[in-house]
Amino acid sequence: MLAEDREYVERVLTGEPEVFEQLVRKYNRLGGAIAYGVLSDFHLAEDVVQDAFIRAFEALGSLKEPGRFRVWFAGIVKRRSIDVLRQRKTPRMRAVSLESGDAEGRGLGDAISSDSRRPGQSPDESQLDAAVHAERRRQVLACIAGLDDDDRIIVSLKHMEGLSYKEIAELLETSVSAVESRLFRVRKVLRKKLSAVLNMDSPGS
Amino acid sequence: MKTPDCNCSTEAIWRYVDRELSAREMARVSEQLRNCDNCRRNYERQSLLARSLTSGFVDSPFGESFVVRSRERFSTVGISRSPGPGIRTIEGGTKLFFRSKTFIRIAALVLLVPVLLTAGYLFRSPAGQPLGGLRVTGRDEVNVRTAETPGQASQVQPSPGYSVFEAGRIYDVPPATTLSLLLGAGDGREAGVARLDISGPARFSTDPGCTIENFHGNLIRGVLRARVQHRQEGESFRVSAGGLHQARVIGTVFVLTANEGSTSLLVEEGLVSFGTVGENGEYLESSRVGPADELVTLPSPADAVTSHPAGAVPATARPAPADDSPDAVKPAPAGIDPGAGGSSGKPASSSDPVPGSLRDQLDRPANPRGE
Repeated sequence: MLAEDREYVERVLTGEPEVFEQLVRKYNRLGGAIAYGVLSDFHLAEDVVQDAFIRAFEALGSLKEPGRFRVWFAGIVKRRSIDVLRQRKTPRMRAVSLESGDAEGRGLGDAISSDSRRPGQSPDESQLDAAVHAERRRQVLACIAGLDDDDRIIVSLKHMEGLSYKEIAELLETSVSAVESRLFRVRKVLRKKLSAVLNMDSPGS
Repeated sequence: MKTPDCNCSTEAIWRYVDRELSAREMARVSEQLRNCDNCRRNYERQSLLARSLTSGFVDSPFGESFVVRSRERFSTVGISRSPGPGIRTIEGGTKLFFRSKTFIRIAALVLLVPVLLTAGYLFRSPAGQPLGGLRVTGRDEVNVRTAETPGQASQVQPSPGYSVFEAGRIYDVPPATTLSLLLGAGDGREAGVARLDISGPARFSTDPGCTIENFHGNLIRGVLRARVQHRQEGESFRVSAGGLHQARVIGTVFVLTANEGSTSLLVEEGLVSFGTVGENGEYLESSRVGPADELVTLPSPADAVTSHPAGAVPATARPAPADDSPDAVKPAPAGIDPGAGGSSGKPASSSDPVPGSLRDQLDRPANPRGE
């Protein structure tokens, strides 16, 4: 990975700017996981990651160790995300009660009705299934959005990007054991919140 | 039933779900899950939560679609696929692209094309031989490359249509994505010999020398489900896992899971020969597994060597008793079975028909999740 990143960076710096797209392809999900972790909003996160790539492209010459592009880029995304968060005056998404639907009072029945059923038409099985899954995903994201920023970043790096504890620790400049214990704790909280949605039989540990 | 020695902590099970354990520890927890209802229920709950959290991100706007959407915006600052004469460089200035250089490149390309085509025709390798059709479903694209050109990956987007499935390819399947390979003439849909569904995150390769009749794939990591028609005399269907174990198929439906070092097999129909690769590259059958058997796991030979001397009793197909160590397999593999016809992802010997680099390339990152 280090060698590949180094090669990409050096090629961009020596007159092949189109090679930068390889870095975009390789790291946009990673950037997305960090930006979403800070912002809890996919659309904002997309803008931030695009900005971060442009900034990275423009500052690529200042990168001292081209092989460490990933960590460097992650830092740009995080800083840019925090800037955007500060600029936004509107309240951020909050966790909502799963029993009562979301903040707008929409429950599962409403979701099925509006998402997959035309007026006067009964939802068939596949529509119902799709709506249930969509609603479940929405509830999962709502729970994740209710976490603290640092917890949310770890959860998105783990579950959106599928990074190992070691990779997360490297990106967040912390220890593997700190990542591990935080993940255990956060997932315990999420499990409690989602136990009704996921039909988990007992709260457990 | 909770076993008296139930000592699996929640943390240990999370590490198991996250694949953050060594092969030895994975095998130990696997064994515990088989024998302890309490631990198994705990595992099922945690596994469900992990899948649900991952599914929450399915609709994120990232992946290949982000690359496509971003091109227009990026082109305004010089990040472009086809740079024009004015290229912005990182040093901060703008330097002109020398037209003479462009001209030389174009001229060289024009001259090279017929030469390469001729050379390619004369020296074409068996890699790339069509084996059937493939299709990607789910969230993201699948990266496809060869061992010889690891830096030149192509992408297959999720689509209802079928692309060509070829020998000598390495497929990287991202999370929440499934790669379906149809082995057979044409796109494999009409005269299908086998169907393999590989769920991401996974890495799978096909042997450069394999054919429809004698198929050999290698599951580097991930989960694979295969449905295979009955093989005729002289035909074979083999899938190696992690370069250590191999499932030889007689005509069956099975699920193979390659973890770090260990490999698990669950047979739904038919019969599968399951074993390890011996010291001289020969295939050593550990067991024959059928639908009546439960999940069979073969651990890393390296671990086996650590805990048991060579010649330990082979693992059995049945769930092992409490004191039966899952480490009981033949020791370290080396080389490739000459009869296997090529790579299985095993450590390659100098006489391999597939260069030793294949294994290296398999472990080398080609997609955003490479390690």
